[in-house]
Amino acid sequence: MKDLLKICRRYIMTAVLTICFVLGINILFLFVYLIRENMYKSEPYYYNWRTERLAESLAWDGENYSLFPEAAEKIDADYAFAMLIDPEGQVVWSRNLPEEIPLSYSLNDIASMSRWYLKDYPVKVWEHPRGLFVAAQPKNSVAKYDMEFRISTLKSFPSYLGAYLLCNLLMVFLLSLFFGVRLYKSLKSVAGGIENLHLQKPLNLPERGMTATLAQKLNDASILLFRQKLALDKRDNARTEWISGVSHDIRTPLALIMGHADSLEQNSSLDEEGRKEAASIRENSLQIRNLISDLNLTSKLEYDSYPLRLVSCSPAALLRSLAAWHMNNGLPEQFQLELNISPELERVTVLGDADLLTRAFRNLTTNSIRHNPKGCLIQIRAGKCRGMTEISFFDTGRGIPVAVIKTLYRPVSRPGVHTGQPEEKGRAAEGKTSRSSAPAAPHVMGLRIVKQIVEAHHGELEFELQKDVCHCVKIRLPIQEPEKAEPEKKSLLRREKPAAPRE
Amino acid sequence: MKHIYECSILIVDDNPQLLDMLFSILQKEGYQSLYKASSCREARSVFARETPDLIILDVMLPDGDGFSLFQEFRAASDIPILFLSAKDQDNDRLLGLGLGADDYLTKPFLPRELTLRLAAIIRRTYLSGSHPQKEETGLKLGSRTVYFERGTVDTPKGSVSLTAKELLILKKLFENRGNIVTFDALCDTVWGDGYYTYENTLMVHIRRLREKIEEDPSHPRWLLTARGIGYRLAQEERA
Repeated sequence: MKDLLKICRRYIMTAVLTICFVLGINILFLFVYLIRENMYKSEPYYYNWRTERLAESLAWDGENYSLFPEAAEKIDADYAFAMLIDPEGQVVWSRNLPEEIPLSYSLNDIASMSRWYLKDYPVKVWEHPRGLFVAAQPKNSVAKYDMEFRISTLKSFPSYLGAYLLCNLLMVFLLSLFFGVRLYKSLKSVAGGIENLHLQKPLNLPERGMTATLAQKLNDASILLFRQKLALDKRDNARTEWISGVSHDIRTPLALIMGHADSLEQNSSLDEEGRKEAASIRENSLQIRNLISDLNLTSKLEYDSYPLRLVSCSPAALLRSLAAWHMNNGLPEQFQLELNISPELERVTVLGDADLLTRAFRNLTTNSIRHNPKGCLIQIRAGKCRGMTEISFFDTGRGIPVAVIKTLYRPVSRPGVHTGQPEEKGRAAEGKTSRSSAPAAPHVMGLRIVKQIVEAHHGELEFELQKDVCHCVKIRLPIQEPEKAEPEKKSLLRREKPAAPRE
Repeated sequence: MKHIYECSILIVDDNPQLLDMLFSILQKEGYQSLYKASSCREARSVFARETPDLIILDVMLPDGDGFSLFQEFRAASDIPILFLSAKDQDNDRLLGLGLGADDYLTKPFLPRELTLRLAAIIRRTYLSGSHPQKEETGLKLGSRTVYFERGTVDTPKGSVSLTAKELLILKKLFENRGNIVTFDALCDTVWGDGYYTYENTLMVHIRRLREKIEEDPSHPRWLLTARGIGYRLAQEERA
């Protein structure tokens, strides 16, 4: 709406400025015209001066009147006729005098003629030593108007002009304001419509006034967007439901496989090779179970259909719980886990889904364990950084190849992402064989889940690269305001051991 | 009931293969009285006829859903019920547990996990009252014995009382014996609050506890520290 006000303000300003500009130009033209007219008056053949000159060109030699040839030429060229009326009202000299023009004049005739017309001929009179010199221009060549001004009016004209201009400006401003408000009102609903377009709901803007077409187009566009959203939602839901359905259908047969494999593994009548194979079936089934679970979670997070249970949780408590989980579930002896929590983080809480955050953290630590069978040092450091909680997961193992990170930032629909092919290639290039029979997907999916969880919590995920390999992953989460955290403080406590270990 | 394996169990699942497998797993584990049902109707009839001590119940059944069946059974009896379902949604789990189920296990599951959970439920429901020997015989920590019920520790020099907080800490550690219990979990158990501001208090309580249960509190043998994470009660043969 602020933009709309700005537009209207600009509209009013532009209108006022335009009027001022046009007015200024007009005043300038008037000024130039007046100056030119005055300059013209100073020329030797200005009209009035010419009448006087013509009169002077008529000479009386005691018996006859004679006109200078120059003046005669002028009268013949530019005038209809010229005459001289003596003090008795008789025409005593004339040139080109038409028949219709009387030869004798009363005082009334003279008075009327001197200001207006003589038989429709516009005339000018000038004093002559022997009477009144009259020069007439052709009919319909000059318009004559009688203008009179009070002297007081003329004197106060400059101040009147100022007030007049001011009134005009005010009027222009008020009119612009009026039209501006009208424009604002008609644009308001359209602007509201544009602002609401992102909600992807059908708009119902009134289609009338100057914005009728615009409103109609917006209404049509909103319906189009709404339909697209429905189609997208339908597709996303179908995909999520499909994954969910497939994973559900796989669960029972997988339970049978795992159960029977477990039974075979413990069957003493089976030879050691057979029991090993049964153990392999069970382990791989377990991996499929985790894969299904990850696939389900990642698809739900991708399409925002995972209900986040947001509570105040202490990152320090979550990390201690994670470390305890690793220790309690038998961290292989070739691994060393170090947890370093800065004291300032103890009082910090973040608003998050504790299970999901734990899942993200655990995905990173289990990745370090899974991909470094020879063992390594895993360091978890947590503290505050740039007003956020920063948790760094560092290991001295082989690290995450840059290809995996690149895969992670590709769109989900790209082939090869869920299958984790690039990672498999990357790992294979390093001569890895121990995982050759196991699908590589959980790793990329594991990292994708980490990324999705961090994004769902409005956090940041950073991979610190050293020569195309990442040894340190940083997660930054927004810190919750203390006053908001207080009422939910109790819920931040975690169980020290998850009920059903997933991996 | 003197032993968990005396518990009669009704298994309800619509998949006959899974039903057979569950039957076989529990049979191998040592359970004597096992009953099978593959539909709600069948389950109702077995329940009425055999009055089992525990039910393993699937959620999706051909003639109804397990949640409704659960409510029917619960209206008639208070026997423990464990849901075993392919429905892994949090909502389903929460619905099942919210209705009052004793546990909710999702398929696929590890047979060992199922048997452990079953044993825990049976112990909790049928044997906790008749199993006071833990407290009676006490928790033996070297030359010292902790009696939880009395809240005392018998030492060679005489009996020492435990404070309520010390007892809570020790109980929590004992329940998770061998596993690390985080500072946060201990503070939640003792004060119902987070670790922040309780750091020193917890340390003081642990020190006093060590003075009572350890031969040499400076070099603890039982109550061990997992640096930066929590405490652990070391595994040892109980008296």
